[in-house]
Amino acid sequence: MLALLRLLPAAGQIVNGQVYFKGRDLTLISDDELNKVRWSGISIVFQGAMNALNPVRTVGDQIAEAIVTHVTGFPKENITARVTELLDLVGIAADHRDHFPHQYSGGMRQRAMIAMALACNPQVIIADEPTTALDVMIQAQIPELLDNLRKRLGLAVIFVTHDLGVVAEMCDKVLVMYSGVTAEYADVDVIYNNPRHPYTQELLKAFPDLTKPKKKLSSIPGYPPRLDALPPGRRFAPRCPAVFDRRRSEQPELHSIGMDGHVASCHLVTEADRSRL
Amino acid sequence: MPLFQQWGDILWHMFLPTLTYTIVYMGEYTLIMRSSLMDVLSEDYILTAKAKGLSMFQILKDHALKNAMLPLVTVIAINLGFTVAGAIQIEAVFSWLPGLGSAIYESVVRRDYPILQGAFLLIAVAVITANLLADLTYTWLDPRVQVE
Repeated sequence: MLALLRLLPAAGQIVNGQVYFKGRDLTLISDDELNKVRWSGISIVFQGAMNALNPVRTVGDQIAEAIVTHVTGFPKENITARVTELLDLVGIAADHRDHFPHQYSGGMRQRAMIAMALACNPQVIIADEPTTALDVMIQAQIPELLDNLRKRLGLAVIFVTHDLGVVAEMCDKVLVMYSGVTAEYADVDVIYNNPRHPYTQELLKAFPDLTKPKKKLSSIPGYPPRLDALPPGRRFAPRCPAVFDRRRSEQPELHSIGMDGHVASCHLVTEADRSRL
Repeated sequence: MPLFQQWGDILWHMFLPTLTYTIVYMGEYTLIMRSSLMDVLSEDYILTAKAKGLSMFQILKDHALKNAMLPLVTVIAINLGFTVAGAIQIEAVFSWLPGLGSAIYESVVRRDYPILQGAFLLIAVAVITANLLADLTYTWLDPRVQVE
C-alpha cells in the first residue's frame, strides 16, 4: 500500500509496475509533483492509530496542517471552522479539537485520522487495516463510518483487511493477494460465490458461516513464504491443495474468466477455461 | 585601565577557553540529537507527515524537532548546572584566574575544605535548579508531561 504513494522505506524499491492516478504514473513523477498528489488526491488511514498522530501537536492543528499544505489560498479565519466540520463528520465533538492525541481514546484517534484523511477532499482513501489496533466494538464502527462517508462524499476507498466479513459487507470489487501478488480479482459476489483461485477457496473455508451447521474451520497448512526467500514457481504452490507439476515450476499469468473482469492467476483456472473453449 | 579596555581584555582572553568548551559540548549534543532524531524519524507519525505531502524540511521542523529535543533538554540542563561552577580542566589549562573552576582547583591543592564545601553547595544548587528548569521545559515541549 505504501508503494502506491512511494512511501516505502529507503531499502524498498519499486522494480516494476505502474500506479496510474488521473492518467499519470505516480512511479515516474517528481517528488514535488507527488507531494501535491499525496493527501489532496490520495490520502491514507494507517493501521496503527495509536502512533500515526504526532503526540506533541493538537489534533486540530494536525488536520489544519493538511489543509494549509494543499489548499492554496484557503482563508485563514475559516480553517478552524473547517477542522470542526471535519471532526463533526467523524463524530468528534468540537471541544476535542485542541486536545492532544494522548487525550483521545484509540477509536477516537482512528476517527481523527479519518477526519484528517478527508481534509483536502481526496478522490481516493487508502485504509490500511484501519481496525487492527482497536477493540472489537470499535472495529465494527470504523468500516461503517468509512462506508457512510464514502457514500456521502463520493469517495473511492481501498480497504486493506484480513476480515472477510467486512469485505463482504462494504466492498464492490475484491482483490485477493497472496505473498505480494494478485491471486484473484473480481466483483464481491463472484469472489464469495464462485471463487476460482485455490487460495481464495481455502481462505473462504477458513471463515465461519453463520447459516451453516457448526463445523471445524479448515486452515491452510504451512506458512506464508518470506518475501526474500520465495519458493520456486508458483508462490502458493507449496501450500496449495490442487498443486500439480506445472504449478511448481512456473508463475502463471493473470487469466481473465468471463466478461465481468474476473481475473485469476492459477494454471488450473487457465487450463480449465481453455478446455471449455 | 579604562573600563571598556578591561572588558575587551577579558573577552580577548575568554576566546580560546570558550571555543574549547563549545567544541567539546557541540560534539556531545550533536551525537545525542542525531540518535534521537533517527529514532523519531522512524515513528509512524513521520510516515503520516510524509503521506500528507509535507517536504522533508517541514517534516523535520514541524514534526521531528520537538520530539527529538526531549532527551537533549535533560543533558543541556545538567551541563548548564555545572557551567555555573566553572570548568575545572579548561580553567586550569588556560590559567583563567578569576574562575570558580580554578578556585576549586587551588582549594584542592591547598586542602582548603571550607571553600570546597561552599563550591560543592553552589554546584548542587545550580544543578538542581537547572534540572527543575529542564522539567518545566518538558511540560512546554511535551503535552503529555504536566505539572501537578
